[in-house]
Amino acid sequence: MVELLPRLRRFAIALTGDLDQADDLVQETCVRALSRVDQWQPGTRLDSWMYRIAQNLWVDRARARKVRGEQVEVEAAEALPGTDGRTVAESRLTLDAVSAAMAHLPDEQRVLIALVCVDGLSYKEAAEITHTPIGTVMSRLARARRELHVRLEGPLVQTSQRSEPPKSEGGA
Amino acid sequence: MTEIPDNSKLEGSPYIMPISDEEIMAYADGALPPERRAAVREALAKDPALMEKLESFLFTRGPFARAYDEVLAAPVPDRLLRILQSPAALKPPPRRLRDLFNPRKHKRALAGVRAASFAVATVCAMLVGAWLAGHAARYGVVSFDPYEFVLLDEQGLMAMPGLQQALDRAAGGETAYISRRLSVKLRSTSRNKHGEWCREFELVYASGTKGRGLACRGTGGAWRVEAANVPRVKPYDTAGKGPEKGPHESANPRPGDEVVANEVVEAVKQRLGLEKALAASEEEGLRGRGWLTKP
Repeated sequence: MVELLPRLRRFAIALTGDLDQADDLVQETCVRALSRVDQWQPGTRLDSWMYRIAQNLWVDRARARKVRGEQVEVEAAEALPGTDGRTVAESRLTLDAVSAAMAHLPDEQRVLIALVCVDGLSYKEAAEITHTPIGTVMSRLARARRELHVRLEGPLVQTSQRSEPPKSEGGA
Repeated sequence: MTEIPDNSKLEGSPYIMPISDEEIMAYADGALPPERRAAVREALAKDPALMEKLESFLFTRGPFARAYDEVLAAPVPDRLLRILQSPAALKPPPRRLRDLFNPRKHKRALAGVRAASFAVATVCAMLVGAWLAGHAARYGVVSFDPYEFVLLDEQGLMAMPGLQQALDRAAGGETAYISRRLSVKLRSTSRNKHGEWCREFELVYASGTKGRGLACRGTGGAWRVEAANVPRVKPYDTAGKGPEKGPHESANPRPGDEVVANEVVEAVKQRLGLEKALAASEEEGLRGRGWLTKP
């Protein structure tokens, strides 16, 4: 479990967009996992099991947040100086920039991005963790990934430029 | 990563199956069933709008995802470690109180978890290592960031559609864009001992960092990347120091990287038994004929 902590934190940051909230979530996840360790079946993947716990906790919390009417994330993300959700094509993508873009996604899409893109799980594993049919997982993922790309890099300038070399530099 | 919605019912029908966003995504993730790969590759090469979609999927798996990797390297806060290291300090749900304070059961359960997580971590490390080592050995790829120009396929490392196009169409010495940050400059063209046409190319990143590679054209017309040497990749650096570079480029390529990598590319060239490079006019004719050896 200790070995899983860095990955679990990365997953939690992708979900929450905030380091402190992420560590709170990881903490809760570990507490819950330890208290139910006898429910984990040896031979199955421990990481998937932990992710399922983390995502359930997060979904519950997100629901509670909505009931309270809090809407911190998107506003906070937009208030970040220098990151209006996009980055200039040549600059590095920062954690702030990706978090700001993620904050615009619905919760169910964000979980999938965190599982599949950030952690590299398969569609099937993500479907099992989120209790969602695989077809739904794929369509949500595809939509979310298009959205993130446009937000962070903008629509492609001119697709016709792609095959056109900028300037031929003569013979090699 | 193999599941995909089943649209095989249309198989055998005279209609060309439309390519869905999900299929392009699965292609980018290496999760598309082999029988659909060629169709998707073909559609991508024809339609720039599909290529743009592909770029979204590669981007979210590549630079976007890696922006989170700095968290992996960051030290884990003590409060989290403490939970796992001294579970007796936990406040368990009342129902489990007895279990938790039964030291024998607890020890056993925790040992199981530790062993399992260790096994998971070890297996992951081995898989990644084996994948890279396997590819370095089989295809001669050295420390590269594959997402932008190659894709692991059943036939090996296949050139991504952008690189496919460039290899098919660009003249020697010509530079073609593959993505926003990467362009490819074509070098020599020659035949290998199996009679396939091969082209050497240079990879030029937006920052000026360079790599090189070699691809050969299989019988189906798809280019296979036999060797590539691209500067080592470092996770994102959010400190914002140093010169601006593309997000997937190394800030500090290690000294010696290039030498080693060039040696591998040379070794692969030897193994493939490349003939003498074609003259520019011969190469132009060959491209004009769609890479058919005889007119």
